[in-house]
Amino acid sequence: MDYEFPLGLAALAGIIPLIIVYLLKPRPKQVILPSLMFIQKIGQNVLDSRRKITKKITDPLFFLQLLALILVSIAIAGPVLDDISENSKKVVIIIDSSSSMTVPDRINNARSAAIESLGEENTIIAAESIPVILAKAVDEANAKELISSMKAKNTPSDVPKSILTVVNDKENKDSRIVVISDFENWVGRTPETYIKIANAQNMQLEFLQVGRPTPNYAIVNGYLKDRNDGTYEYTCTVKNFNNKSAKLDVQMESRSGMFSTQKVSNSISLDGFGTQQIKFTSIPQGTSTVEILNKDEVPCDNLAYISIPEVTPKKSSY
Amino acid sequence: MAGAKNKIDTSFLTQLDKYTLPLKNRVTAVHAGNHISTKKGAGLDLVDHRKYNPGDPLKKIDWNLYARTEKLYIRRFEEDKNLNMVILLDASSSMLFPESNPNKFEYASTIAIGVSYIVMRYNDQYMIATFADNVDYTKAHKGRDEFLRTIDNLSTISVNGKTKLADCADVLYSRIKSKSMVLIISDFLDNLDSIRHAVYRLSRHELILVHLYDENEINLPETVDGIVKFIDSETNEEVSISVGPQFKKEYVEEYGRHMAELDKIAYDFKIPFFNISIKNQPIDAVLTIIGER
Repeated sequence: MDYEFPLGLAALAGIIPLIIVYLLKPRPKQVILPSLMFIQKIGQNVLDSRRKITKKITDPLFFLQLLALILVSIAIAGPVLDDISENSKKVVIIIDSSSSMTVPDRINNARSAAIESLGEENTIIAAESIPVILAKAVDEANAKELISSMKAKNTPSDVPKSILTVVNDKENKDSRIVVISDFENWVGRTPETYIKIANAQNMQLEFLQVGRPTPNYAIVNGYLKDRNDGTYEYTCTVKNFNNKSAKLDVQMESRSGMFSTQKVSNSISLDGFGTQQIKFTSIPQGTSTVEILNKDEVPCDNLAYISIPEVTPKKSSY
Repeated sequence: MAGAKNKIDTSFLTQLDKYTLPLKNRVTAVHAGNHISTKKGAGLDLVDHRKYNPGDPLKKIDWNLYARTEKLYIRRFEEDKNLNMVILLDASSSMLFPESNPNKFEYASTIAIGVSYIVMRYNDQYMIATFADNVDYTKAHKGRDEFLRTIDNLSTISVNGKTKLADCADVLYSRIKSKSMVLIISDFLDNLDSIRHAVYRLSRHELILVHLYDENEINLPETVDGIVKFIDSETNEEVSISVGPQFKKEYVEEYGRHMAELDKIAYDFKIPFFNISIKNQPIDAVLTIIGER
């Protein structure tokens, strides 16, 4: 059984002092009795078992307190009750369709995992930049066919948004939500938060990670700024999706009908999962590209295009 | 009484003046006295005749019978004997219960003194022997002076040891030569076999068993509850136990079984058995024993 706050179970340690308190019995009263022989006779008959019991705790108050302590501890820990059966009839499968899933075998593994998770009534959602509902309430055979034909796209993904979309749909109540992704790029609250949100809506949320860590560097953001002198300044954000640091070579190449082609290179060092901004100045009008020259498993996010309309001077007669 | 350990109530003795001690069996004491005996001798009551044998005293010949039958017969009279009362008083530590006055020993002594008083008044012999591990046996007494001395002895005697009734009976068996009235006053908190053996050994005498008890001994007081360490007053043995209503019930049953066995022993030997609470007035207890109540 899972707990929201497993440390709450530490309150169970309170049982130890409780037992000690009850074992430390007060000093017995002393009674001088001439007829001890009868007490000993009772001992020979039934007292043996009772004596053993007296070494244990017989006070019903102890058991009440013990029960209260256990209940309080469990309440603090907050058990997550799996009242949704594993083989739930309704299954919602969210498959990450971002470019990171183009890594060989990732999408295949995702398909296999999705097919294994199918239920009687299946909804398939592709987590792209927006959630794309590929199928709703289809049977297992149709769902399997659809999943088999799924491909990753050169798009970013917003898995959290897809989850919230599913959770907020009341038709998905009592469903099992299976999220299949490489989880390389997660933007949003922590996965645990989404699990709690889903559980609150009586849904079961599972995360299935596919693929092994592979080298992946990407230009994740960029913007252009006009310098009002006919040139532009481009600032892009480069991210290292590996847990190892890497030295990246970023090259900007400008092609313009008015100017000669120019190449500017820049080298940066990124720590594991680190990001850094690179600024390229004096970008002429025309089409330019910014490219990470290092080879990785996801090449589509290594290239950024900059297109600045060419304004050619026109001669006019007044 | 200076230095008295045990408080003996003698205030009721004068009320016993009008009572006497009935005997069921004829006594066989050596001394001549007021009680009928099984012996033939120099009494006043004619029992029977027997043929004259040479050597018999001539004065015992019934000459009237000779005149009618022309045969010599000797007249035989029932000999008057003294009563020999032996009171066996339990002086084991268990008799010191309860701690309040009177305890069982003081009450037993008071009863013994009461019975002795009746015996003393008829100039019969009495003896109060205390027993615990051993018997404290003195010779039989007679008369008022000895009676006062007996009270004094009982009030200063030290009460301790364990009840060993069988051993005491073995000792007394050879000591009490004539057929006597033997009164055993005890709480009988002893092994039943030991009690049976003692009764068997003394059964040739006119035996009376007097069992003394305190109510708190049978029904444990309400204050005795929870975890209690019981200490035996004789052996100092300790038993710690959780006391509740069920335990008290079992205890009463066990005590009752012991008393029933004592009753059975008395029934088997056809001897009187009295159960007397020490809360009773001593005079009532004495009158119960001598059969007046």
